[in-house]
Amino acid sequence: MNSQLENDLDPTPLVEALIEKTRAGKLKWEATAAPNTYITSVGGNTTLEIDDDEYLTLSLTDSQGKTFMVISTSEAPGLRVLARLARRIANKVDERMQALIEVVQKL
Amino acid sequence: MQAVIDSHAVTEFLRSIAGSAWFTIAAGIAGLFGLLFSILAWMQAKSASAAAESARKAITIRTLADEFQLACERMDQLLDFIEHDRFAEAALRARELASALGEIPYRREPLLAQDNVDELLNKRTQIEIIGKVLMSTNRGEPLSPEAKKRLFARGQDTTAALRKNLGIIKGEIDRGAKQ
Repeated sequence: MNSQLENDLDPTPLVEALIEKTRAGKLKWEATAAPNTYITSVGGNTTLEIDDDEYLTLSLTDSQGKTFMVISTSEAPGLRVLARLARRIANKVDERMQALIEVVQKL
Repeated sequence: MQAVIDSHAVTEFLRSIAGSAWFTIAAGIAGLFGLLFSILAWMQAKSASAAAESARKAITIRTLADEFQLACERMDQLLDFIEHDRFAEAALRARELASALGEIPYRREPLLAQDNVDELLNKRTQIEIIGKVLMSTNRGEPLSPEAKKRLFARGQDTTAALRKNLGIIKGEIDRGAKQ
């Protein structure tokens, strides 16, 4: 245990797992009242919040509202991919684009 | 008038009837009745225990419905405050709501499916973010029409989700009442 604590915690596996599950449609990202902030909750006990306003960060909050970890792009570069996917899902870009294609084709 | 019981005579009497077929039959019937009453008592106890459990669950569901009802009313007030630019009051409501919604999934987890718990956690975070945006207006930062529209939209999403959960819980109460 001590030997593990000597190294910095690597958030990359978590971010990669989140990217994979987001691509699989398992994570339902939602837009919020703050621009460029997207949230989703998993496992009935953790809320993930991507804040892409000034700096891109991923915050992990427990079921009682306490933020227990904040991950930045310097720790996990994959966060940019996750943020892009979250924005796409939260803003329903795919559905809107499909609807737009159908409208344009009818012109 | 002192009754003297001759123990020897009693023993002889019992020995004489114990050997008879009638005694064996009577003892067998009494044993069967004993068994029957024991089974009936066990069934009654089991039924009473199930009724008590069912009543406890019904009370918990009703309390949960009341909590959701109150959250829906507070959410309506929050939207009303936002609509009328009363941001300080709206921020206060947002804080109350975030606190209430943080507690519900934590305390009522056994009654809610994981998807509902996740949805409530999302809504709690949505309201916290609404609160932060409202607090920024209290610090003198103006709220653009676009930001107000965004606040209102997220608030309406949250109201819809709370009302959906309230509907599910009320459905559960109705089903319980019909049974």
